[in-house]
Amino acid sequence: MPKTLRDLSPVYVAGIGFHRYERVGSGRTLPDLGLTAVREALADAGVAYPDVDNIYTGTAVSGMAVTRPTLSFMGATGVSMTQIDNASASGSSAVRLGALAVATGVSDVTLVLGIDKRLAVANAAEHTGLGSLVGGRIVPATHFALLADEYMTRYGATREQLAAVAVKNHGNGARNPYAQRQQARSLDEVLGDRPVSGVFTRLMCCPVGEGAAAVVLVSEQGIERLGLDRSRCIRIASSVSVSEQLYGEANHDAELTRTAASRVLAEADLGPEQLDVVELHDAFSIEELLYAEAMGLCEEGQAGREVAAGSFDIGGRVAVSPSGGLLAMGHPIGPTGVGQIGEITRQLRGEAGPRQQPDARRGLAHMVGLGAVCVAHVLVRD
Amino acid sequence: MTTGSRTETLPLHRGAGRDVRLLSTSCTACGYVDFPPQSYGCRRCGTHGDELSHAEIAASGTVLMSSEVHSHPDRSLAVPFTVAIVALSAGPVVRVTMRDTTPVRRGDRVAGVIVPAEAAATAEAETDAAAGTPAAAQLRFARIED
Ligand SMILES: [Zn+2]
Repeated sequence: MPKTLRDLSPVYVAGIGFHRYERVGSGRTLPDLGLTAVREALADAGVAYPDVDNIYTGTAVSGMAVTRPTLSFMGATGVSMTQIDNASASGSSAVRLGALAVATGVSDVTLVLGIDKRLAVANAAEHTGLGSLVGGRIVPATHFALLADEYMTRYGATREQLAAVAVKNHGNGARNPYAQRQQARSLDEVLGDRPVSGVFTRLMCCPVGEGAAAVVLVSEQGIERLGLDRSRCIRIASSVSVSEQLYGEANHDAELTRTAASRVLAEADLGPEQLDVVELHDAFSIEELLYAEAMGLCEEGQAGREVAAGSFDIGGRVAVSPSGGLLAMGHPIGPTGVGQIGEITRQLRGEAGPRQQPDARRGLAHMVGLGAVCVAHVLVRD
Repeated sequence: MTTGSRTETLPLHRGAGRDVRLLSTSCTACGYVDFPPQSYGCRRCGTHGDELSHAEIAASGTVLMSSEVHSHPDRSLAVPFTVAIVALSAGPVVRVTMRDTTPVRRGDRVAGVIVPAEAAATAEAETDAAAGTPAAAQLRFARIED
């Protein structure tokens, strides 16, 4: 049997840092974004840059060779630098590979940077030579509008329930200084916003901007050798990466998430009811309902009612997307999955201030990447 | 023998008007029927070569979900339009463009119909060529009146 993270040496998140997610066209450069996040993460960890022995950069839409042009201004240390593209799951995959590098002992201190500026968007799926009956008509908003239509028909879910996801997550984003959208929105504002596709208005779709997020991953040896503050280190208990299979008429995205979530929870020896915080891929509001059910956070068909009842609020049974999620914090692609790990670490440390989920001890991070792939992690405060 | 290395886009359908059939990727090794037609390999079992055929299948099935699109990043594509995901009676689940924005619901029976090029949305050819599907520009789906 191949090993999983729990068969290897423990891995901890020791530091987190961000550059606020912003609209494309902010005028900020890759070094502006990356250096801000990396310096904040290193300072938070109490790690000096020369102690970093490995760097993974999750990025998908900024071209090749992002790392050294961005981070050469940290000084010349000769550290290993590798760029990882896995579409929307790029940052999550960079975290996973970083965790594996530390867990296997080939690295004591890995810096994971998620960064993107939307400079070069290319989708390989358009170059397979396969024909299509829809051409370019089904962009992601419409893909998920189709799934929303099916979900609403199947379970009798309402527009208001789908909009309530956006109201909750914009409310959380309004309390997050790193969020792209920091404005609380009413149900009427969400429902009355510009229509995009199917049931979705603009505020039920995530903004794709630019930004950066960074985390510092360390081993036990790293903590001891560098004298880090163990009480602020959060352990990565499990890590899973899967790709889509054939699901016939079933909802592909939900099935992919069901597989990833059940595995990542099993590897952490946890049940879904034991989670205190979840950061999931809510690029479109329907996704929170689909994935909350696929993860087992509630019964099938009940997520709309749970959101309306406040179960997924900060202070509710399990805080879902306390950062604001992709809907409000934003989805700059490369940074997103790294930022989820940063938010969960902040929550499990009890340092999330006005958006703190009380006594949060266990969190799950989840991203879906075009293609499709799904990457999930469970973090725990020991 | 097909090698799985061809790059040209295969025709997606045959016929005219309402007498239209789709071409499939049908695997004689595992029985999987897939759409669109391709020669790379079976997406279920991985078989490639002569065991894949492009058998004709009926261009009809049942709506699983649909969405009317109100805005699209490609401004040359006329909105609104309606797309749907259809479970074909032959098995494959396909994404289709509807002939018009008449609402369709889960369970509605729909079938393919070839419409004249001028009836298709503006800048169609350009958009579909970018997606590698010039031949598909005029195949639409519509509800079967019963
Ligand atoms: Zn097969």
